[in-house]
Amino acid sequence: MTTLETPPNDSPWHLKSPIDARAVFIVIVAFVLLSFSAQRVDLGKMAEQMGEFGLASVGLKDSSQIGRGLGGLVSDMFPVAIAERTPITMIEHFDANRLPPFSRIETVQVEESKLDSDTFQTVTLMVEKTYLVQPAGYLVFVLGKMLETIEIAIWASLFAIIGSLPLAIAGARNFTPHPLIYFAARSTVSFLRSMPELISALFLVLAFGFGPVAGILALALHSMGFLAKFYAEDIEAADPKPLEAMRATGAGSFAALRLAVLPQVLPSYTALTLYILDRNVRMAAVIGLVGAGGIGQELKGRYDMFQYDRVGTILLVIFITVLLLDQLAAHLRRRLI
Amino acid sequence: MEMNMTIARNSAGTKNCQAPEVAALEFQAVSKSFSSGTRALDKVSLSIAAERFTVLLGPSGSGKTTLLRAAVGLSTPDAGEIMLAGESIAGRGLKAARRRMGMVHQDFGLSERLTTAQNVMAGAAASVGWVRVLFQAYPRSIQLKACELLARVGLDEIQANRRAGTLSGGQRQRVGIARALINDPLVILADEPVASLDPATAQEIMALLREAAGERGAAVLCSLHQIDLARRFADRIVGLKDGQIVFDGTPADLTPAALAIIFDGPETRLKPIVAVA
Repeated sequence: MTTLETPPNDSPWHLKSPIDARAVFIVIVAFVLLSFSAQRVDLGKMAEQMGEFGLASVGLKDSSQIGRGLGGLVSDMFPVAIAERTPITMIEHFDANRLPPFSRIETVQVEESKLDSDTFQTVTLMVEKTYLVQPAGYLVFVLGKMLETIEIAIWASLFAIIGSLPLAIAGARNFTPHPLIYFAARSTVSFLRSMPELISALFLVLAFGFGPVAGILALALHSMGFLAKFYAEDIEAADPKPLEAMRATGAGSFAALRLAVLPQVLPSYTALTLYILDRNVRMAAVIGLVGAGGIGQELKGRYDMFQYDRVGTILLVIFITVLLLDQLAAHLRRRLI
Repeated sequence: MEMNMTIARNSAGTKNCQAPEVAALEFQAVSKSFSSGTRALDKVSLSIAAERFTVLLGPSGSGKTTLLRAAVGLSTPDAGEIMLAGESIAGRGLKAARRRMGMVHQDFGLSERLTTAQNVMAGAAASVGWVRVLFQAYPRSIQLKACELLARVGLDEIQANRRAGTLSGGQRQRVGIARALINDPLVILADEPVASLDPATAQEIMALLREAAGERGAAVLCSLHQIDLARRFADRIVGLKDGQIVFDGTPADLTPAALAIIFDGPETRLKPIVAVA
């Protein structure tokens, strides 16, 4: 305890200092542990590479590892792929008179080397190859995938909201019908929250196959846990006076919940729901990496095939979509809360 | 239970002359102690006559709030019985009893984000199906009644559609009174209804409570710690101290000696504020 500097003729009170020996000890211990951890996760290397990059970008060094990596990436990604060129031989039921809108046919002459099976000599031939070119084809395709991703997010959020309401009521101490039910509800919620979506998506893909269903369920289960926990806490923290007043009128639990608790918790619920919607869009984009549908699946596919220009398109679309949705969420939050 | 209703009032909703034996609300040797060891109520027996304004007068911790909460079932007594129009409110009878009582709370007990009209109609939610409650689609009769009551307590159409949280304390308590009246109660229990209001508003609200209840033939059991309000508005004053009745009479009987018994005395000063269950 620290004594406040007092003028000689003043009170003998000791005021407790917020910074005491225990706090200092904790900070020192934390510092030591962090130093050990930094070594184990190679933070030194990170600092070194960032320093190198910084020097290289101002010209004091020729090149840096980060610079080289990024540079290679950028040159591969840009310009991003917008158009789609498909050989007509790969299109079923191709009809030259009924082309898809905004598309055209391109014929090119290409040199091809072939091995003549009779003479065993390499022969160079001029071959004509015909392509169907859709100027915005790939972009449209990616946008379609992004829409699918948003749909996955919306369905997942819907399921999460519907599923979390009964869980929340069962998990709220002032509304649960029975202590065992309370315990079961809270345990379920903890379990749902503890499984990262990507991991549960992996398992769900095994159960439901590749595609959006696994993604929707994986996101829904995790979000359900999240919402149920916070919904339950909001119910427990609600002002008990309107609740008591409702009970005093002879109303049952449902009416009391609907008329005394729900109005109180609605702003918080709306904020949580908007957050979950927002988060699920971002997670839905990622979840495709394990095959659970959406744009992530396309991203992984193109990345594995080293088609970085298409990867660039995908990343750009994801980025812009999330940005727009963020703005929309902020706007809705202002209007609704 | 239905039979008792017809004894107490006719179908138009006003009370017939009631036989003096059937009290609106009766406490029979009600006792309640809290886990802290405090004895909040000590074998309290009290009979509240119909259509009368009875005030429970006493300092903080005398048991007024505990008695009122016991009457509406928010607190269960350790011993004794509570009867509403001759029927015990314990067990299965509680829900039905609550629908025949109205309660006015010290902190108003309103849902701030619902409109005042919705708050008043919520008082009748117990008699309406869950689908209607879910969408707050009350029957027309209840809507009309709510509007009537809001007008009676001095609010207008604009205020009826405003969120309760935007109203002043006095206005909120008016809504509370309207809500307490929507079920045509036999008894209105008022727990320190004007404790958080300024003296002028407190007078208005007490007057409103007395008049509105009287018009509808409801008895009132109101707890107060303000002696002047008790004198002015009560038909009968029951003085409580340390969980026991120490005075029972008209305002005229409330002499300084009687007040000294109720309020002064070393026990009252030393007693900690009792936590209400």
